[in-house]
Amino acid sequence: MSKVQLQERYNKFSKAAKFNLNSEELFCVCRSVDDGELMVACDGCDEWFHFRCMKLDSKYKDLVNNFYCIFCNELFHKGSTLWKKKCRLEGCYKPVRIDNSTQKVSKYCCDEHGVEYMQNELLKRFSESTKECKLSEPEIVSVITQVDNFTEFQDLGKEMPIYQGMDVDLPEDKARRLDELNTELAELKQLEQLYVAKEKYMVKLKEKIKLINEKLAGSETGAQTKKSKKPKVDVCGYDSRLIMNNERWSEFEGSDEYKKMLQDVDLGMSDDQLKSAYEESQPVLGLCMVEKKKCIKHATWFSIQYDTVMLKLNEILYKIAEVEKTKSRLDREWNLEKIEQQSI
Amino acid sequence: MNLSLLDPFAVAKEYPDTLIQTLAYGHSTQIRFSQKGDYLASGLADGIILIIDTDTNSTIQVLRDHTRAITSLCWSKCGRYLLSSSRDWKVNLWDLSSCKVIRSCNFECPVWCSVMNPANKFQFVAALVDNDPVFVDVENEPKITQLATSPYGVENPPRQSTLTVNFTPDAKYIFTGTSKGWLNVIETSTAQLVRSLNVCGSNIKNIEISPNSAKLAVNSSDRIIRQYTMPKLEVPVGEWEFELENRYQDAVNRLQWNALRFNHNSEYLCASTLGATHDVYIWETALGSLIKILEGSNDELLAVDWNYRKCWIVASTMDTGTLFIWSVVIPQKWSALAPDFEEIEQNIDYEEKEDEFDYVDEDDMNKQIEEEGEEVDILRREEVDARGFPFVDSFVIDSVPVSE
Repeated sequence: MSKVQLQERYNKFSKAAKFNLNSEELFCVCRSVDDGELMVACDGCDEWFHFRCMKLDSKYKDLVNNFYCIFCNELFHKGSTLWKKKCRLEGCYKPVRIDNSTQKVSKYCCDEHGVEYMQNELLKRFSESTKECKLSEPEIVSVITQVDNFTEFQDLGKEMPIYQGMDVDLPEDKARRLDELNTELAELKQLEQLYVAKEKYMVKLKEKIKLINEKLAGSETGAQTKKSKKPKVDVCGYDSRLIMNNERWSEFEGSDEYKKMLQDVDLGMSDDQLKSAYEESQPVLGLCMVEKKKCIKHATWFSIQYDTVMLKLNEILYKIAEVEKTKSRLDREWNLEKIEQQSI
Repeated sequence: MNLSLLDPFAVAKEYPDTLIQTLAYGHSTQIRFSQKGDYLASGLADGIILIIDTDTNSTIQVLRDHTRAITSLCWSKCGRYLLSSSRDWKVNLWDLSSCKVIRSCNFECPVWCSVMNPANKFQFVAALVDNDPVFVDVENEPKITQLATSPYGVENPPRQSTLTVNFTPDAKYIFTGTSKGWLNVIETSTAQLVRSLNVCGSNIKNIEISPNSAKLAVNSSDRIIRQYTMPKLEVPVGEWEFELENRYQDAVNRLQWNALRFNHNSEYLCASTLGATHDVYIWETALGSLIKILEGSNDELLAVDWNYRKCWIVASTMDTGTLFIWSVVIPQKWSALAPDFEEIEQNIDYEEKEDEFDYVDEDDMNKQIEEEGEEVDILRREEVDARGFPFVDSFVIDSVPVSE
C-alpha cells in the first residue's frame, strides 16, 4: 500500500463517526460495535482494532507485547509491533515463562511443554538417526530414567561401572595372575622401603661423620690453643655396611648397631678414645677413620653409594608403576567381561 | 651384497683402511665386540652399557645398573653373558637373555678392570685400585681370593700394585701387570703366583694375549709396547721362555699407547694413541713394521677393539666419547650375480648372433643341462664365511624396544 493510499485511508478512518446511531462506540477500521470479538489496543493512538482486521491470527493473542496499528506504524512511525518469545513446543502459542525473581528466560511456557518438547525431539532424532544404535528404545528410556539430573546424565560412561562380586568368581588363571602381580608388588614395595631406609641412613651417616669431625677438631684445638687457625679434620667416614646385599642389610636394620647409628649425639665413646682411633686410623662405629684426602681407596664413596641407592630406588618406583598399571588393566578387562555377560 | 660374490682380494684384506662411520651414542669409555662380532658393547661414562648391533649400527639394548664410568667389558664365549666393571666399585655379570644383572660383586674401591674366565662365566679376575688383584667366583655367594702382587722369587721387592689382569685363552693362567713393570703369572687352579718377569720399570697398562695364544703384548707407560712370543702353556712354568720379539714405539712423537688389540691370527697388532696424533697404528707382528695408520678422528682415542670377522677396528674418543669405525670398502660387483652379464666401458652396436633367437626344444635343453653335470648344492650350509672364518652359532640378543 502506498503512502498516499494509506494517508487517504487514515483520513477516512479519522473522520469516520465515533458512534453509531444507537450511540454505541465504534471501533477498528471496520467501524463496528464491540461484539465481543478479539481486539487489541494500539499503543500509539489508543484505538482498538480487531485481530482479524489487522490480519493477525487470533492464536497469537498471548504473544503481543506492544501493538502499533498500521497507521501508527507505517504513517507516523511511532513504533512497530513487538512480539513476545513463543514457547518452543510446536502448536503452543503461549509466551515463554520468565522467572520473576531471577529474570531468567525459559524456552518454554511451562515445565510440561518443556518435557514434551524434549520427548518429541528425542524420538525424532532417534528415528531419524543414521548412526547405528545398539540400544533399543526402552533401553534408552531406562538409561535416561536411571539418572536424576542432567549432570549425572553427562557423566554417564565416564567411569567404569564396577561389577559387584568381582573377586568371588574370578577364574583360576586370572586369580593366579593377580596373585603373582600382588606378590611382585609386595616384594617391590618391600625393596622400596629398604632403599628409602638406606637413603635415610646415609643422610644420618653424613651427620655422624660431621659430628666426628667436629669432635676431633674440638679435641685438637685444646692441644693447640696457640694456633689461631682451627685445625680442620675431615675423615673419610666410609661405612662398609653400605655394600651389604639386601638380606644382610635387612638383618643389620634390625640390629642395635643400626639404632646406634641413627641416634643423634652419642658416639658411645669418649673423646680420647675417638682421638686415638683417629690417630691410628682405626675404624669407629664401622666408619673409615683415614683422613679423607689420604683415603684414595674410598674417594667419593658417598656420592657413589648415594647414586647407586637412588638409581635402585628410581628403578623400583618405575617397576611398581608398571605392575600397578598391569594390575588395573587386568581388573578392567575382567570387569568389562563380567559386565557384558551380565547385560546379556 | 653377498661378500662371497665380491672381489676375493678385497674381501680377504686383513686389516681395515678407511673410516666408514662414527657412532655418537653417549660418551663411550670402553668398547668390546662379542666373540662372533655381531654385537658391540659400549660402556658409557655415566655407567650405562649399550649393546649395539653391528649389522644395523643401532642400539638394541640399554643396560642400567652402574652409576660411574665403565672401566672394562668382557663377553662370554657364547655371547650370552657380559661382565662389566665400573668406577662405582661394582663388577656385574649380565645375562643378555633377560638383560638383567645376575651376579654382582661390590669391592670397596674402584675397579681398574675385570676379565671373565674364558672357561667359566661365573669366575673372573679383577684389578682393584690400591688393593691386590682378586680372583672371584660368583656362582653362589661371591668367593673372593686375593692374588699376590709382589713378584715371584724376588727379595724385598718395591711396593707396587697390580694395574691390569688378563686370562690366557685356555684359562689356565692369569697374567697380571704391576705398577713397577712386573709381569706376574698366576695359576688359575691354585691361585698361586708361579712366575714373574720384569718387563720394564714403569706401569704396565695393558697385557694383551692374541686369540690364538701365539703372542703377548705388554703396553707400559714408558711409551713402548713390547711383544713377546707366548710360551708354550703345556710345558711346566719354570721352563717358559718369553722371547722379546718387537718393541713398538713412536720415537718422534713419543706417543703413549692407550689400548691395543691383536687380530685373530696375531699377524697384526693395533694400538690407539694418546696424544696429538689421534690415530690407530697397525703393525705387522712378524717383522714389527708399521703398515697402516688409521686416521680420521679429531680427538684422542681411548679404547680400541678389532672385529676381524667384519674387518672392523673401532675406537672410542676421549672428549666426546664418539665411536670411530674403520673398515674396508669393497666395490660392489653386481655382475657377479649373473655370470653371462658383461660390464662394458662404452656403448657398442648390438649385433644379433646367428642362433640367438632360435627355437630350442625344452627336452634338448634339459638334456644339455644334464650333460653339463655338476649339481649345485643349495641345501647344505657353507662351513666358512667369505673371509674364511668358520660359522659359529652365537647367542641372539632380543632387541626389545627400550622403555623409557
